[in-house]
Amino acid sequence: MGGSCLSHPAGIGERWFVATALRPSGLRISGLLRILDFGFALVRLLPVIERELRASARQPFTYWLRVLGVAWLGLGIGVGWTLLRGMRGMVTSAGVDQRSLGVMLFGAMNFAMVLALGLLTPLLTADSVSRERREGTLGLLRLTPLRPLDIVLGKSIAQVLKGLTLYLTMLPWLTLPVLLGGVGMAHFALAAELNAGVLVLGLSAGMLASALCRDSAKAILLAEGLSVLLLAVFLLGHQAIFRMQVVPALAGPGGPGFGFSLNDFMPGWYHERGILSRAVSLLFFTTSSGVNRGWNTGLTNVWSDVWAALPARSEHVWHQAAATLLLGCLVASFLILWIAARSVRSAWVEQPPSVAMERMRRKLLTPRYLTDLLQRRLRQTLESNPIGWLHQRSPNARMVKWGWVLAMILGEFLVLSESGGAGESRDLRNAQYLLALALLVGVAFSSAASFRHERENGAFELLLVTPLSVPALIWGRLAGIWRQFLPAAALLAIIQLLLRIWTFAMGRGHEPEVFFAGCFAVVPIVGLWLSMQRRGLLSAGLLTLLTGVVLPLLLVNTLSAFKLLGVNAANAGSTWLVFQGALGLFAFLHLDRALSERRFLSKQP
Amino acid sequence: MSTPPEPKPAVQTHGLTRLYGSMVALSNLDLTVNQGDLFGFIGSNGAGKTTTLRILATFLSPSGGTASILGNDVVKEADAVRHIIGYMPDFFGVYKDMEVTEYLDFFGACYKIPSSKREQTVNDVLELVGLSEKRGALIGALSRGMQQRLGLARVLIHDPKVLLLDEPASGLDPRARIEVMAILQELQRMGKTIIISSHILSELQNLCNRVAIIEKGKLIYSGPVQGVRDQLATGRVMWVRVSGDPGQAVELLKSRSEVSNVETVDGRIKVTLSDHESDHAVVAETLVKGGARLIELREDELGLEEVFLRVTRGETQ
Repeated sequence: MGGSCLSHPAGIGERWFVATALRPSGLRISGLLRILDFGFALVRLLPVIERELRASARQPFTYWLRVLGVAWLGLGIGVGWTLLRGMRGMVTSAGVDQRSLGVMLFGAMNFAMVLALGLLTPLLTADSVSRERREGTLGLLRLTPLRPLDIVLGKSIAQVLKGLTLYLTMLPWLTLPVLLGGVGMAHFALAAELNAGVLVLGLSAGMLASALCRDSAKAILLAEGLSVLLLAVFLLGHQAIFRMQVVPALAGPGGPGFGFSLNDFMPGWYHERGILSRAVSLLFFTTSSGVNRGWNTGLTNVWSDVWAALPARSEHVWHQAAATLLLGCLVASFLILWIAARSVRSAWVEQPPSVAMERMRRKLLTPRYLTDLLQRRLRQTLESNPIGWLHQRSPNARMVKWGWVLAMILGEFLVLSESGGAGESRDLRNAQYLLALALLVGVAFSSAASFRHERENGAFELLLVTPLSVPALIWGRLAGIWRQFLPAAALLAIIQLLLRIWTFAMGRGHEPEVFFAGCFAVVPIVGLWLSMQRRGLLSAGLLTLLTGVVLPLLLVNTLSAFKLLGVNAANAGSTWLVFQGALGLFAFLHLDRALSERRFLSKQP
Repeated sequence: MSTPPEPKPAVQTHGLTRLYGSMVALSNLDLTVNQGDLFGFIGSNGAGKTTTLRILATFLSPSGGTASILGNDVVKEADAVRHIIGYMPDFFGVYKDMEVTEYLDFFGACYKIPSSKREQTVNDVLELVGLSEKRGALIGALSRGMQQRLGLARVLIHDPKVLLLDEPASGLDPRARIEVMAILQELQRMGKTIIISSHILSELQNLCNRVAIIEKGKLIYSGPVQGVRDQLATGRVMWVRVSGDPGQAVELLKSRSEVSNVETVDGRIKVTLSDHESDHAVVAETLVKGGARLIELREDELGLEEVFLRVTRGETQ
């Protein structure tokens, strides 16, 4: 029984204390007891691990995460294939060179896998402690003999097991390029080592975010932010350890020295001073992707080139370096989990914000300038659209609104730092589209989370019995979301216009702008609709993106590529508009029906 | 002598039925609540109380039957109904990061109260529920009792004629419960019709003038509290204490035909009268005339909890 198991560790610990404190000569016994104590600590974690695994086994998200992982890799294969087809001389009339295909696929798939592990694994742990806090079960765990670190470790181990299933779902796909040739098992083994490091960092980032936040949306956002930060540190760490351990080996007897530049593997838009370029170069280096313009002759990739250049006796040196890095990741993860445990200790009991915190909140978030104007505008919004006012009233909402503007400005600076590379104007426009896509991610998650707060605090039921009609509720909230993201979207649109004028491209096709404008209009409607259908914020947000952005893009592009239903490149923009309009109408009608018939998942605290 | 005016119905349901899939949550509920009533709605968990209140509040549509509030059908004239009801569910439904006045101001705007009147209205309802001093406080920092009072203030913001309150005192400490009940009595004096569902039956019996008991979606009783007591009681029970030997008093009481049973319990005499017409006087007269020294004579009233336990079988959906 659990109870009897749980009673042991304290006893063992006590005996260990007696053995070490009172019998200095009993080192051997104390060492044995210490091992036993560790063993019992693991036993103590078992109920937590079991509970986590049972709970997650019931969540459809676990299944969908694996599907998403494999789909992501499929996307990697698609990207690799497209890149390959784009390279002249590699595709012969007879078909594709198998070795080239292997090299390209390995790079693309490993790139996709590292990104997936870095971005998806934090989601596994991001809501594990925060959910306990929201549901009030964290305090109950305190009544058990479990310590905060036990809880964090138990949950982490369970999520590591879950993450491993994602990892093991994706990893075998990496053997496909090995079978095709061009890359060997050494590539596969190195990728497995490096990617495991990304996995543990991602999981610990999610756990720390979960311990720090109570709200699931905030926890997810923080988890992703921390994970990206840790991924950046990991990439820098990999480059540093490569320079410290592998480069000297390259310079040894028989080696060519470090006679190549990473720039050789970079795409055309690469610019040495560009921040994005540097980040991408690090990512390419760690994932062995890139455009393979290596200093060696023949088609190869950065890893193949390094291995080919290493003297035979030191071939294993890079594996050793990767193992060291993995060890470092494990130590760093443990430290992060320890910090998370300290946070859990202080979060046992939910406390209202302290007076000092409240004072600071008021000091930092209370507007100081143009307060009359702001209050007048908020009051006008309250009179005309109370539901929209809900979306804009709080300091947090204002922070999000202007935070997105700031993010867009920073993004534009990043893009401008790339200027000077080849194919400049096209790449600047592509970067614009990436920024617009990032904004759409924000819109999607904001709308998917929109009515969720009201459903959780019970206010939704109260709103539905006020004289506000259901369409008024929906339009009110939509207006609130649009207004929240309008400044950032307007900024992007103005810069895009300037870019067109600057690059004399005003007369060219405006399909991308039409597409993004359509998405900006439709994604909030889809997000609101799916927020009623899905219980989890994550699944609602991801589905919103898939339905509102990816689906129209894929559908219209496919129709255009195969010239079906009269769709071609010339009328793709108008087709997008029609399709997105139909999608928006469909989502609005279903949302209206779901609210009118109260066919939504009513979750009450 | 002029007869009192016929009470006008505030809430009426006829054959009200609600299905959740194949499960019957409400079955042919016929209910009438008169204007000015403080009406207690009693039932076990899952009996159908919340479903009834949600239908009356226009939140849910009935699967069958009709319901009207002050003559307005809750389905066909939902918009009109929403202006005349105040609905408080069994949870708070508050935005914890809002200030008290901000919260009421928001709901005032939802009820389309002109901004010129809203400030005064907010002040009035806050005063009524005793939260005037907390007007600038964050809702998250309020105690449970205060949040409940804020919920009441929200219900009153548009001055509704009918209040639908689902478990308004659940989870409150005794003092907060008493305060909430006092506010409800004050609201009744102001002429509001109040339907209140609660599990704390001892409080309802003192508070409500009429009750309805519901079980498994079916109405078991609806009417005055005393009415159900009378229906259930086989005879009135009196407790008697006399000075000296109770044996003589027992014999005296047994001799009366109005007394169906007499027994001694812990030195006191339990007297069961055979019908409702007989009262204290029969017992007192018998004992005094027989020479017994009467110290205490008390009627054992059937409490609402006892009534509830007797008329229901403890079945839930």
